[in-house]
Amino acid sequence: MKKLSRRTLLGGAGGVALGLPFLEAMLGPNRSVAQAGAIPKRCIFFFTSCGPVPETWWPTGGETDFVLPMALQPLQPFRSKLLIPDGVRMATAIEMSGGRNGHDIGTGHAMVCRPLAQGPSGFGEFGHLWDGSAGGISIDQHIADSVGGETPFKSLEFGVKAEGIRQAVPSRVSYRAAFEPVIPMHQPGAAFDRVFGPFTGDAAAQARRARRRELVLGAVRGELGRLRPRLGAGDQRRVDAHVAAVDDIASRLDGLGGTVCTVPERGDSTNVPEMGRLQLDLMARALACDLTRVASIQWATGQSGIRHSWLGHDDGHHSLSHRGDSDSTARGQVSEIDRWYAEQFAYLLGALDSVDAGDGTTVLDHTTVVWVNEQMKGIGNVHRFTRMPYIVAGGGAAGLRTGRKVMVEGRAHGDLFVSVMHAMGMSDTTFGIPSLCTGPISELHT
Amino acid sequence: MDPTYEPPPDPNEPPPLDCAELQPGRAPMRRLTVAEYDNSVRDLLGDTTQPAARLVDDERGVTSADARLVTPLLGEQYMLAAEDVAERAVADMPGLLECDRATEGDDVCARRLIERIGERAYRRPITTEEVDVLFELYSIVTSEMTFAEGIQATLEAILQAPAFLYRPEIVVAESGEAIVRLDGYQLATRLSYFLWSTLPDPFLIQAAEAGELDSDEAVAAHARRLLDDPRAEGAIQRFFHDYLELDHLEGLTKDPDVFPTFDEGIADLMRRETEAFVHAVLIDPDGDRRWTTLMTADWSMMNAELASYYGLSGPAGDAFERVSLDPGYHSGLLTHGSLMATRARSYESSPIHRGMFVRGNLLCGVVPDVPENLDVDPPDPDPNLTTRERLAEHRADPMCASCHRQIDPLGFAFEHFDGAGRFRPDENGLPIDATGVLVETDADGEFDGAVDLAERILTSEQAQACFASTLFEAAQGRASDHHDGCSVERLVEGFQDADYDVRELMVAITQTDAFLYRVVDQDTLVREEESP
Repeated sequence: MKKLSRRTLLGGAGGVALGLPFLEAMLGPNRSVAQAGAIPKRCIFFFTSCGPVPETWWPTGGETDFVLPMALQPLQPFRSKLLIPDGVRMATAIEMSGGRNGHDIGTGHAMVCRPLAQGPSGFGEFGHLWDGSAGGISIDQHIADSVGGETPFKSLEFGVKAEGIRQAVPSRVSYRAAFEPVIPMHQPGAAFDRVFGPFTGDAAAQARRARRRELVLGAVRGELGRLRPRLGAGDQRRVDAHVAAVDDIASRLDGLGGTVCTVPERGDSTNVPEMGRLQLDLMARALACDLTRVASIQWATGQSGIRHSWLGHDDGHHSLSHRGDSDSTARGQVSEIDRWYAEQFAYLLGALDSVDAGDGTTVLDHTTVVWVNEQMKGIGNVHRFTRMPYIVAGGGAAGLRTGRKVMVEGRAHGDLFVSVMHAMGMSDTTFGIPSLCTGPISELHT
Repeated sequence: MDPTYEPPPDPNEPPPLDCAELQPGRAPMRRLTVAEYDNSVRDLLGDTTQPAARLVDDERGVTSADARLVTPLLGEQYMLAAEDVAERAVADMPGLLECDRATEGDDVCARRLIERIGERAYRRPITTEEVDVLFELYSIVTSEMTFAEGIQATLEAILQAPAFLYRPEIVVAESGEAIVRLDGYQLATRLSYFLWSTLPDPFLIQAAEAGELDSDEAVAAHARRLLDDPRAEGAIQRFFHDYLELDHLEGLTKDPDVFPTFDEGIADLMRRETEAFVHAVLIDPDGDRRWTTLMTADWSMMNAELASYYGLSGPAGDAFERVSLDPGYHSGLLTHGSLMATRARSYESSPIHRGMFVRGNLLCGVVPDVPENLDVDPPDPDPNLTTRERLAEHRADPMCASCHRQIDPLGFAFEHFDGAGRFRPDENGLPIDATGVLVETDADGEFDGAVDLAERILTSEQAQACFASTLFEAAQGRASDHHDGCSVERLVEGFQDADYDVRELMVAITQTDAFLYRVVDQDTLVREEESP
């Protein structure tokens, strides 16, 4: 299998280097990068919304002899690499939302363990612009701040059908800070160009363009700097974010050093199942190539409006999920949706598990994958923030004791994220509001 | 409960406001929306490729300027879009330069281009320093590469400059005033983006240069001029698209067993119906431009296919024509298929969603969240009961009724329209009861059907203020707050005096303190409570 590095391309050896089909790359005796040094630890957050139907989702049985029910059947091949914490509560959402429990609350707390932040008009009301925000940095970005300096991208955010609603709170899960949501990449083709573009195309032209970009961005940065002191604090904060964006782009212009990477196939689609697969392929490959160590994929906004028409459904996910427990058709359809996302989760695990990390373990063993939802579906179809449906997968070589379902009744979701940080080699003891964290969930670790 | 958690302050208790004083409110720096970016690039360089389609920008609708941050991804996409636009522009170098390189010399031509394009892009005179920065960039790139790449880099820098992407309004207080009037260029920019979603045209820039926009009357006159131009339609249609949330129509499907004739093509025709109707009332010279007509018209715009879907006759072809409707049941936008079909389930109407639209979008009312641990279990379809009868529990159970009495009856008014937007005289043979009581407004009382409810809403100052403030917010790019109380009050008075002429309301918005003035130190207005 031919591998391409940017350095060879710049040396003029490459010509037009087209990527190999991803599937081929995955099936082959592929090896990940960074074989020389310590194998990097990675993490992925996989977000879906509306909460699964509990009885077709929760595994039965005990810690090690748990049985995957209908909606989680697709995960059977990875059973030994799963770690299912039963009993986690979204503590900040329960304790700090003034009794509210809508999808906006769940989404705003899903990866941020702080109370929502008010915008200038409050949290957003009918007839007004919606300008509230989640209350601070999200777990993926916090981890990226710690480990992101090692890779070209501090983090990568992929989206499938998570665009377009006006309010940040019910639609975004990844935040740099309050009022600074991170919008995911929605077009797989553009995402490919951004992440893998440097491995393709004419090297001399790329170098020339990089030099021009460096000069242009320098001028832009200068203009931003001159504008900043003339603005109020709120606008200065926005200029700072823009400067940080320009610096981030500029930091990648030097190229990707000696990175060796098997490039996936470039594809594009707006069809949800196809888009999802393309985005998962890109994400898995970006991690395997060590282009980033922190990634997320957001399938939907909170209160997902996706109509899973490929499953034969006419109604959107959110609408179905509120149809009432007595509506067995709707309930069955929600279980089908739960199972479909489990298939996608399994596909991602498979993509990571088929790449050798360099020492006989797989990239999945070094990657902590967390499936995050904005809520659990409660009895009578209320939104519920207790016994949240998290699934952790992978991370076996990062100190996670997988192949188990563990009872961790009452532990906060902040604690779960602290555990993810520990698997990433970080030593934080809390995340978000400290009083609602008690440290890593020891039952998850070796 | 965490001790650091502070409940939000009660919005019903704003500090007292003196309407005799200027009250501009907050003015966060705006960044171009997707439509504004595309139009600006079109007017700047003749590029009609709509390059902003590739931007991962989160707001299809109106979003508060405060919430719009450039992330690394968006920054990168701005760069790529600028590169594409610049590359296309330099492909026709003579046309771009408007300068003879052979006689004038490359550097002179480059400097002239920088001054001309820079001034247009920044919507004000370009400073010497800005020209120098761009010229230096041009010089370095040209010396290392080619003239064309030097020009291209310069355009890329202009298209990524904060003075282009944002609308900074730098004001200087001469003797320590807290509030100053915006200068002519800033007002020209506000007018142009509010009414045309693009850069100011040469007439506006000339007016700014001449100091004409120091007069409120001249601002109003230019607003009328802009509204008379076809370029105003885009901004107006976008406002109604957002206000009515027409994006819900995208890819809308219905249960084919219940609504076999509905498909995505019909959903798209419904969107076009609403657009054609808005055009007929507000844009067409024969339209009366009145909000009341938008809300109550007994006619709509349809082509043959859509009319046939509704069970009506009249239009013969693909073009949208005016179609008369039964005045006993149809009430302007409120009973359009676009609203009725999107405020519905896949298999039936949804009085709750329709009621929420009236309560939320028309009355700017607050609908409380569903209480925790409430069994939200909508009843199953039952052929022997109407939708309304199946929702009777909402009114019987006192816990449900406390909220649903504000919502459901408003939705029952529309029960003559099924879940796919068609008129129905009865519900599966059962008689329809479209009566209800409007409560907790300034126009409370009984009604029977959508026409009756609309008449009641039109008399509500709350509804008038809701429409005025929604349009005001679109103009200002931020939520209105208590600082705007005087402005909205004046807008409502003017709206009534102008017989609810929407165009005059738009002109009146350009006459508010918020539009014409600016608080020098925005930090005095920034929310006291930052994020915890």
